[in-house]
Amino acid sequence: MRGFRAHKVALMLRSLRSRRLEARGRPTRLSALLLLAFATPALAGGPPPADEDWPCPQRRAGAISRAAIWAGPAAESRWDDDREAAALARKLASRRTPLDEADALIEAFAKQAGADKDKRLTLVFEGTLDLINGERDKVMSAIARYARGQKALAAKVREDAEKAADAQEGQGDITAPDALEQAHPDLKWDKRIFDDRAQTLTYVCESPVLLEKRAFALARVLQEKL
Amino acid sequence: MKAFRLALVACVVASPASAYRIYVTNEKANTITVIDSDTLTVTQTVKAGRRPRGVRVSPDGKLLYVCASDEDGIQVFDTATMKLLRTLESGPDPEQFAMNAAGDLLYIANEDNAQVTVLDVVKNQVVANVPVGVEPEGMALSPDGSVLVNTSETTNMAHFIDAKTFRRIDNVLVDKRPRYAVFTPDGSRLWVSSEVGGTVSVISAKNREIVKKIRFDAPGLTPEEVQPVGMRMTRDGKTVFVALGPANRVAVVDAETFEIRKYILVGQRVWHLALTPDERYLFTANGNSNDVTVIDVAALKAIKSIPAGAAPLGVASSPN
Repeated sequence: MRGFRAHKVALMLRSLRSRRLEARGRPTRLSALLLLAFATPALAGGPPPADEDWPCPQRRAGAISRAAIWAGPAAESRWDDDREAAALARKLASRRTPLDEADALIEAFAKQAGADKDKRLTLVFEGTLDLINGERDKVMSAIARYARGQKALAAKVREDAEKAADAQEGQGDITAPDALEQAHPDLKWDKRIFDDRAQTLTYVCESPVLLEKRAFALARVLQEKL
Repeated sequence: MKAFRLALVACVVASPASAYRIYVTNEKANTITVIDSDTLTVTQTVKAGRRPRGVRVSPDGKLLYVCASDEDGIQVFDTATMKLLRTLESGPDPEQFAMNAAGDLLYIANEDNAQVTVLDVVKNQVVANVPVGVEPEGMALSPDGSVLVNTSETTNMAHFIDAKTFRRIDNVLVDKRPRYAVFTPDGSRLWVSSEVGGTVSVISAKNREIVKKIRFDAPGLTPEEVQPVGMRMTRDGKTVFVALGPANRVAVVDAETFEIRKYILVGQRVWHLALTPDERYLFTANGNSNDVTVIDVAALKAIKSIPAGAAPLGVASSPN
């Protein structure tokens, strides 16, 4: 839901533009409205977030546990010691490999894996999970960075809006279309960047989930071959 | 020849007495998947209202009730034709509901207005609106029909309500975000799952005290992965199946000793469960892998994954 809230903030900003008339001669009120829009932690909403830097409705969870996706045996050696297993793990973990090709790749590996088939398939699983967890970790850090960026941007828009309102006080007419934004181009750009980013939040938040789904689907195919 | 006849007899005996129909609500696909419990295949996919969640079959098996959460209504389907018969007025955002033994009253948890709506399905009339805690979720009716229980996600309570007067009898504080409630078949105890708390509270129905708090320390899982949600109990009251959400496992709990006998790996993000009336199979709705896992109850093994629609959440079996 938080993504939706961020979008709502963007919508509020847009409606602010249409309320310029109301703001005539009342710059303090305009400033107050802008403050209000950005005062709520721009990316928060719903229940209080456990983690200020986490903007997604999905809970921020640690690495995918082996036990959550695997009912097979435990690995007896390092996965990267088995070169073929490691090569397959890399291929499977890569998002460039379509999931529907995974079955054939795993099947081919299982056929030539020899007597240690189960042990080696377990190594493929270990490698795939390690690599996907690594990528997921990077994605999660990027999302946290993104959230911090949005927060900083929200603070800047708030500050600029206050300045704009101060400067406007007792001066000329700001009811002309986009007068406020024309007078303060930074504010316009920052708002636009904020809006755009807020709109992509849902998509951004889906990426760790997609990796979790991929890890689960691959583990399932590997298990079927045991 | 004799051996052949014996084999034939064995075959006939082994095949189930009757096939049940399993109904799965797909929250994002806005459909209902119908599965045949004999062939374990999808026989039909039916369009439902927006965001279908809680699902139940009438005691006679003729009607299917589905919460269309984003349409603020309960849809009624004819199970013979799977045609939509009517949409009953529920409160806003209905999610789970309980039904009385006669099948004429539904007790609906309306997530958005902190109320439980009691609906007469024959007259399509609201009998009562009972104020409860914030974000009501789980609903259970005692086997004798005298006590209604609702859990509220934000208040973290199980509210015991007199099912005749609709007066609140008691509130029991449980762990965070209680999602589902179920009475034991003898009505002596109530089991409540807490999604965020990661526990199941077993409450005495008589004095409303917590008898036992079950934790799920599954080896290799992090505490945040263990999020108990849907539950089903066998008719003898001896075994409870608990869906553990993003742990992708179903815990098999001994209801007498509270020991966990097994953690069965199922599909991803397991929500709700359904037992066939003969208790041969347990079906699990898996929200992220978009499938239904079939568990062989005698063997406690996952035997099949059946593809469903996008984001399966609720599941119910026909009674006959």
